[in-house]
Amino acid sequence: MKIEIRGLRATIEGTEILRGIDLSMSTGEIHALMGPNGSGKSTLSNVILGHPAYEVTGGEILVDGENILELEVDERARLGLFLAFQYPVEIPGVTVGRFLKRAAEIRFDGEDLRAKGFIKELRGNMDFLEMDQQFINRYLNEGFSGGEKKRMEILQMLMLRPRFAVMDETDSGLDIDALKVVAKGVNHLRGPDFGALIITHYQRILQHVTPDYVHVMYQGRVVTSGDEQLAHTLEAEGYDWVRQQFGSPQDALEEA
Amino acid sequence: MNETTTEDLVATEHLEAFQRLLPGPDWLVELRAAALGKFNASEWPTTSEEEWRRTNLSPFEFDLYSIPAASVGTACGTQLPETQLPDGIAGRLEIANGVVRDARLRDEVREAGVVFGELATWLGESAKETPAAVQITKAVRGAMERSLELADNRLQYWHFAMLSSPLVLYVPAGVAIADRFEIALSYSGDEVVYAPHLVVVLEREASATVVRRVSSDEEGEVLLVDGGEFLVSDGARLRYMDLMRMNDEALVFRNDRGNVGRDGHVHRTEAALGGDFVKTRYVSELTGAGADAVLNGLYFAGSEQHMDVRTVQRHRAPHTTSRAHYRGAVGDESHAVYQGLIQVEGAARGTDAYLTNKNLVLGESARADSIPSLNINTDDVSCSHGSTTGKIDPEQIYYLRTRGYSAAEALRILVEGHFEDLIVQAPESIRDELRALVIARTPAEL
Repeated sequence: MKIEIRGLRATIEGTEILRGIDLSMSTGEIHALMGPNGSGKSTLSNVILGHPAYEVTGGEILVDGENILELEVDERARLGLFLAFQYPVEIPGVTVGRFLKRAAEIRFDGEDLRAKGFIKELRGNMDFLEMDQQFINRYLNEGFSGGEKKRMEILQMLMLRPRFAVMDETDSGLDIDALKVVAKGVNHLRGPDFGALIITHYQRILQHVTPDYVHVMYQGRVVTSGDEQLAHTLEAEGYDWVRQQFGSPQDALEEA
Repeated sequence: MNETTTEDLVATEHLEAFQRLLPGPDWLVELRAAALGKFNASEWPTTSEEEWRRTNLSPFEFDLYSIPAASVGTACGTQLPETQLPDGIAGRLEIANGVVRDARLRDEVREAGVVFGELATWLGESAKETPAAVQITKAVRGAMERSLELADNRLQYWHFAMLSSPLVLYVPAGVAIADRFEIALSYSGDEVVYAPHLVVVLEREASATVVRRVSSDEEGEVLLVDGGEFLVSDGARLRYMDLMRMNDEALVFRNDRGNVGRDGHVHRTEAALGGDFVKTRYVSELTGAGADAVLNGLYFAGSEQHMDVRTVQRHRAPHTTSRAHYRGAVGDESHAVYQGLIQVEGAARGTDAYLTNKNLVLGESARADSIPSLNINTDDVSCSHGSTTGKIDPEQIYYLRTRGYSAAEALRILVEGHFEDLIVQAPESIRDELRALVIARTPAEL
C-alpha cells in the first residue's frame, strides 16, 4: 500500500489546521511524525481516516493511486488502514471478544475465522501483550485504565493486521513497561506487509521502535524530514529550533 | 358453563351477558361480578391523576372493542403428551386468542405436585376436594381477590370483569424445578379485546423459572388488558421473563403484582418491544424480612409509539432489598415514560433499595421522561435512585467505523449494547431473541 498525501488542507469548525501537508509513505516502512502540541498531528491522523468533523479544503490522499477522500471511514478501514486512538472511547455493552470477532470478520471478509483459530490467536496475542484473558469478556474500554486502553488498541492492531496503521500518540501517558509493550506490538508486525505512522510528541518510543523516516510537523505543515537522527536532534534541542527556523512571523504572532 | 355464542360482544356494554358465558368456579364468577360493579361505578383514568399525567386515554373509544366469541370456553385444555418438550423446558402452554392450543408438562414435574395450565381445565380434571386442590384454589383465589381489592382504576376492574380462566403455575413447598416453564400468548383480530391473567404461586422454598412471550399478528388492533400475580413464599425463588412484542397497532395495559415472603427472591425482567400504546405497572411488595427483588426492564419505542412503564418497590418488612434497572430507547417520534417509586413503610427498617433508569434518544422528535421518586417512612435505610438520558456519541460511531463497521452496524451494536447489561441477566434461552428484537428496532441511521 502506497499512501501519498499531497497539499492536504483541512479545517475544523472553520479553523484551518492542516495547511498543505505533503507526505509519502508505504507498507513496509515505519514513519515517525513529531511536532509540538497544536501542530496538527492528531488532525492529520483523523483526516486520513475520514473523521466527519473535519472538512478537507484542498489537496488529496492517494492510496495506491486512488483518492480516498470520497470514501467513508469504514471503507478506508476495509482498505487496510487502521487508527490507534490517542483517547479510545468506551463502548458499553459490547465485549472485547464480540467486538473483535466482528471486526476480524469484516477485515478478513469471507475467511472462516473459526478455521483460522480466531480465539486461539486472540489469547496468544493477549499473552504476548501481557494482558489478562478476562478482558475478552469485559465491555470494550469501559473502566479501563489509560494504559489498558492503549494495550487494547495494540491488541486490535495485532488481530486486524492492517496494511498501514496510524498511531496517534499511543505512547502518551504510558509508563515505561506499557511503552515497551506497545513497541513490542509494533515490532512484531513490522515487515513487508505492515507500515505505520507513529505520531508522537516525545522521542521516547523511538528508542524502542526505530523509524525509517522522521518528519517534523509545525503549524499544519511537514516542515522537515529525515532519518532517525532527526529525532535525536529534536530530543537534544527541543522544539524551539523548529519554531525559529520554520515558523513564519505571522504564525509566531498568532501563537503569542 | 362453556356455552357457545356466535356473535362477538361489545366489551364494555355486554359485560354482564359475557360473564354468563365464562367458566367458574363460583368464587371466580363472584369476583367477576364484583369487578363489573366497580367497572360500572368508575370512569377511565384521566391525565389529572399523577400516574396517568403523561398517558392520555381520552382519544380511545373503548366501546369499539369487542370480545371475540371464539375466545370463550376451552377448545383444547387437555394435557397433551410431554414427548415433544425440548430439553430445558419443564412445561409449555400455548394460548392463541385466549384458547389453549397446547399444554404440556413433564411427567416428573407433574408428579412433584406442580400445576401448570388453565385453572378451569385443571379443576375439571382433578379431584377438587383433595387437600392439594383445596390449597391451590385457596392460594389462587386469595391472590386474585386481594388484587381486585387493591385495584385502583377502571382498566383493572375491566380486566377482572372479563377475564376467562387464569393461567396458573403452582409449585409446592420444597420443589425446585431447574428447567423453565414457557407460556406463549398470541393474538389476532381487529378492534378486539383480551384479558389474560397469570397467577404464579411458589410455596415455601420452591423455585421456578418462567418465560412468557406475548405476540400478535403483524396487523390488527388488538387491545390487551393484562394482569398477573406472583406470590413467592418464604425462601422461594422465582425467575420471570416477560417479552411483549405486539404489533404496532396494539394497545397494551398491564397490571402485575408481586409478593415476596421472608428470604424469598424474585428476579424479573420485562421487555416491552412492541405495541402502539403501552401502559404497564408492576408493584413488587417485599412482605417478609430478608426478601429480595430484582426488577429489570427494557423498553424500545419507535415510530409514534407511546410507552409508559411504572414500577413500585414497596418495602414492608425489615432488611429487604430491591434493585430496579430500567433501560429504554426512543426513536422517530415516539414517547416513553418511566415512573419508578421506592416506597418504604414504617416497619421496613434496614431497607436497601435502588433504582436506575437510562434512556437513549435516537430521534430528533423522540422523548423519554424519567420520573424516579422515593417515599420513605422509617430511619436506617439505604435508598437511592439515578437516571440518565442521552444520545449516541458520534465518537463511538467513528471509533467502530475505523474498525470496519458500517455506520448502520455501529449504531445497531451501540443500541444493543445499551441493553446488554439487562439481556445477560435474562434466562439464557431468550438472550439472543432479545438481542435480535432490539437490533430489529434500531433505525438505520440517526
